[in-house]
Amino acid sequence: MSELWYRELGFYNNPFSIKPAAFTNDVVGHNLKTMFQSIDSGKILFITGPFGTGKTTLLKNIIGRYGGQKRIVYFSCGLERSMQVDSLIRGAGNMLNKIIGGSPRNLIFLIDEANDIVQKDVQDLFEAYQDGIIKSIVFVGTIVPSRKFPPGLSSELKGNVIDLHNLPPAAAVSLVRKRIGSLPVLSDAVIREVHRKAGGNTRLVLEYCEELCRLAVSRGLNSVSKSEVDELFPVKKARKTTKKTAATKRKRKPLEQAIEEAVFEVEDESPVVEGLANISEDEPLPDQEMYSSPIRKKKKRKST
Amino acid sequence: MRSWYAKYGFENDPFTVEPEADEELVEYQDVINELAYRIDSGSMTFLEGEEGMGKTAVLVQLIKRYEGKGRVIYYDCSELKKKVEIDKLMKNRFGFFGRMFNVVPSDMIVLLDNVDSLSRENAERIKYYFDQNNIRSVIFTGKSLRSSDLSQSIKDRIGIHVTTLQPLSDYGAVELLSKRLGEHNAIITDEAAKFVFGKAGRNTKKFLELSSWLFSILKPNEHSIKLDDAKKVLRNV
Repeated sequence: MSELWYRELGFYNNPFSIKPAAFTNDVVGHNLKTMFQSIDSGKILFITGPFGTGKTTLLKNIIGRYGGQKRIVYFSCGLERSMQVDSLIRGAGNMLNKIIGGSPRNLIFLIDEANDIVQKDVQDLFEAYQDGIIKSIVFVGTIVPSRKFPPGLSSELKGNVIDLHNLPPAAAVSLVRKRIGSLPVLSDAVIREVHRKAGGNTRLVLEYCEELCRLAVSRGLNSVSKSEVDELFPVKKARKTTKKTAATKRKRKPLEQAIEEAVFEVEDESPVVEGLANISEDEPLPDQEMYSSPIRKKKKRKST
Repeated sequence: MRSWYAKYGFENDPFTVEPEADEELVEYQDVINELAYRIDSGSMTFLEGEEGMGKTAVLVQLIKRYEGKGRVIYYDCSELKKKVEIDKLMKNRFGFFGRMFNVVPSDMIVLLDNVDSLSRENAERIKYYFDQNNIRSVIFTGKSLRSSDLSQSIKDRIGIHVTTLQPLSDYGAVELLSKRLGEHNAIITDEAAKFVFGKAGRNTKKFLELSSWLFSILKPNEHSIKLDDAKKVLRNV
């Protein structure tokens, strides 16, 4: 396949890229307005959700809205290291702050991978929040690590946990429509079917759609029907599909081998040349020790 | 003592297991095309395969395809006492100035060979650069995605993009040997080659090593190696 399917459809890049904000920052299926309102009013937010539901995309939206005002501090806790809140705050201030030594105000902290946050950092963050240095904090993680959070913070969080669970079918349709416009390749019904197969996971929906479009272009189809969806994704889980294809390939092998061997038997009728077979069977071969592979060792053990 | 291959005009052992870019791979063209598509479309891919199946050889072919634009970073993670530092690798793209001004290139292709464990720091870096589009696509290779030590966020970005290298067919094994031997491909019969392949457990690397050993013992000189010869020599293997 030398020609890329999306070039054939008129896209320069892969329209189903799973990279956040590769094309558009618009978020589908979540209400951005209320989120921005609570950030503006200085609240602590926690965005939870399983992998691939768009947490990073939401963060990118926040950065896109407040970026450039020297207010955003982004930190990823994935390394399980202390984030040193003090120095982060000092670094965020402007030149005047740095000279006088005062701290900036009204910062917005974005904490990615908040499940691995160090407990001391939570304390420091909350103190800075109460002092008014930090206006608003947005945590992002798979679940709320409530054990690490002091009670005061937990009560602040109440009602401000945004749960990014799975995408509703209508949102999946509008997401795909946003990516590829009204191209007839994927009909709304097919997108719904894909959404069902992907279990509502946003990233999986995009990946499945990519595979479908690729198949359609390679076969020269104008649109994908349900049978193709079933063909590409027979079982619900993606891993099982790859295993299945591997199994079918393995099943097919004996037949292919039999055919090949039959062909070889016919072809190989060269005269036998003796002289090579002069090595007697009892003599140990001189260089045999040079090659020692685990296979050979195993067999040796069997013989003794 | 002259080595057997010198008689046939080879300067080196034709059964070397070092992957070379000039060599055209037998039977793996589909895998290479699939991976090239994944690179173009921008995704993380995991190439599964046992030791010696030719994962590195596939990567070498990919490097050959994308070389010359300064976009490919290849790193073998199994090298001892060396830690991957994606950050440094990325910034070294622009040499001294890159390090000085912290310039990070965009649209890079990262090939990480033998990734059985990746430190959290690197995983975070790769994830970040990938999301920021500094890295266009990543290809990991290893024994299997499940047993590897990659963090969940990376595994999740790989998603359904897992490609598995199947063992060569018998026909492929015969073709491999005859390609390596060139015009002298008659010095081993196809049955013997298939027998050696079976002895090697259908593993490409072991197959090459075993054939090299077989040839060094039998020292074929104007006679071709027959199935019986191979059976005799390899009876204890």
